[in-house]
Amino acid sequence: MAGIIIQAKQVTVRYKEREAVSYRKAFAKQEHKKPYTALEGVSFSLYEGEALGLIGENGSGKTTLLRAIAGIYSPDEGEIILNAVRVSLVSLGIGFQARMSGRQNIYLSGYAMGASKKEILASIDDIIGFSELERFIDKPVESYSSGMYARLSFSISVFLCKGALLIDEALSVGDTGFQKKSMDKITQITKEKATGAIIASHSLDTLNNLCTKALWLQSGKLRQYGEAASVIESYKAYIGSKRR
Amino acid sequence: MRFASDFKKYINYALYSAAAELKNQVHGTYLGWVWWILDPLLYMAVYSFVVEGVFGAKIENFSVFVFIGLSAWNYFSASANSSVSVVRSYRSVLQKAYIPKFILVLIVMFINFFKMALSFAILIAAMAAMGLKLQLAALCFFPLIAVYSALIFGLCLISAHIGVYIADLSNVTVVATRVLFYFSGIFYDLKELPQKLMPVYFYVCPTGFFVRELRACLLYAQPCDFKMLAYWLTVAALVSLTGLSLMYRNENSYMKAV
Repeated sequence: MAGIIIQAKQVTVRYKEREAVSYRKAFAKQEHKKPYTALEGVSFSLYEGEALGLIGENGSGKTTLLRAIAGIYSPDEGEIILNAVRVSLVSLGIGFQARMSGRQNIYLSGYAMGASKKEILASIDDIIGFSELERFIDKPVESYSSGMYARLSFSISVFLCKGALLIDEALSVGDTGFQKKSMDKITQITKEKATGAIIASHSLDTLNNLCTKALWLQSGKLRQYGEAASVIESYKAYIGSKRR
Repeated sequence: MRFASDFKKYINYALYSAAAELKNQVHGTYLGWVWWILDPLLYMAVYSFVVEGVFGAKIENFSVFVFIGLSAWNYFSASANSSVSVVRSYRSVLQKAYIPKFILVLIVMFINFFKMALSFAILIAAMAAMGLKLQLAALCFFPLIAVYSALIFGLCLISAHIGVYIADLSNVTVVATRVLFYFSGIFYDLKELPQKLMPVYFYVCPTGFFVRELRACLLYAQPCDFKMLAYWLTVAALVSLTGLSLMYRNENSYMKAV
């Protein structure tokens, strides 16, 4: 039986201050520091080889949850247990430098993800091939279209990722053909490497195809968690009722 | 332990990022990388003109004297001023990938270290052209720069940490470094300061100490004061450990504040 690789227990994340403050405010009474709760008491488990869809409206806490799992934010309450796996947050354009070439940005992003030179060298041809940017890879990325930029950053993320994938709205890049290729790649990585994936997206059909389970967040709270088809159906009904 | 493994894992990012930033700084300029050489030379010319020409100060080999001071000073000042806001500057990267925050301080330091190293290379070439030969004591340059770098690293870690929560610190740092500049003997001899301050001065003013020692070993062929260097090494170790501890304990909440 597949084991749990990521477990979130009653995870709560609060933003105390959205911006740094001036001295006057810093030493004033703490009225301005009312925390904003982005996630409240969220629990779930991700099993080996499983793809979990993360759905919810904008501002519901999807990105915050992924960042908390990736170690970018620490939970204010609860805990996130990573059972002997590493996690990679797949998001678009990690620290791209506009004036550098696509090839140089592969190195820059790869190093930012903690990859070694050897790992980057081993994957660089696959990254260039998958992104379909062979003719443009030595041109500065400032000359790229938004689709080319997104294809390159997605390719870097998936080929240099290690462990479980955390995908934040990164599946809807490029044209339809590239989207299909991206989904196949995610499925392949999840199955072959026996890791797992958490995919945040507004594309419900995509999630229905990719995921076995889904988690619906609403205003930072867990609204529903279970079989993907059932959760997505409930979410669709909710969205439909809101529009009427 | 964690510092060592993080350092090994992310040092390539720090080096690659610093190189990219250096190229960015001169991108689109007519003279390109020549500015890295012209910058300290022009400053040296200005200070030499003002202090020697206008105020009539008489210090032998004054241009070399000022150049050593300025090169060491700029390394400290530029690193300190950039570090305060470095977490905010890298916000977009930090929201997408976990990067140990001390690496950002290293990026800033690598950029300024490169400029300082270039300045000293120019200085040594200029000294040779002027007939000023380096003596064995010049080897003290290396331990001096190593301890100086460790101290700057520690101070920058602490200022980067505080700068996340108090944006105004960048303004304060600009003023503080300006004050320190005038107290560090960059364009005058520290002998001109009240001598009763001297026993304390070198224990509290790191830039004054390092500037004096670098001049001593490069220009006056005198070995450095190892006792004082050991003192500053201890301070550097304590400050760096404090800075690293602060960063590791708080770095996961930085992204909520910037």
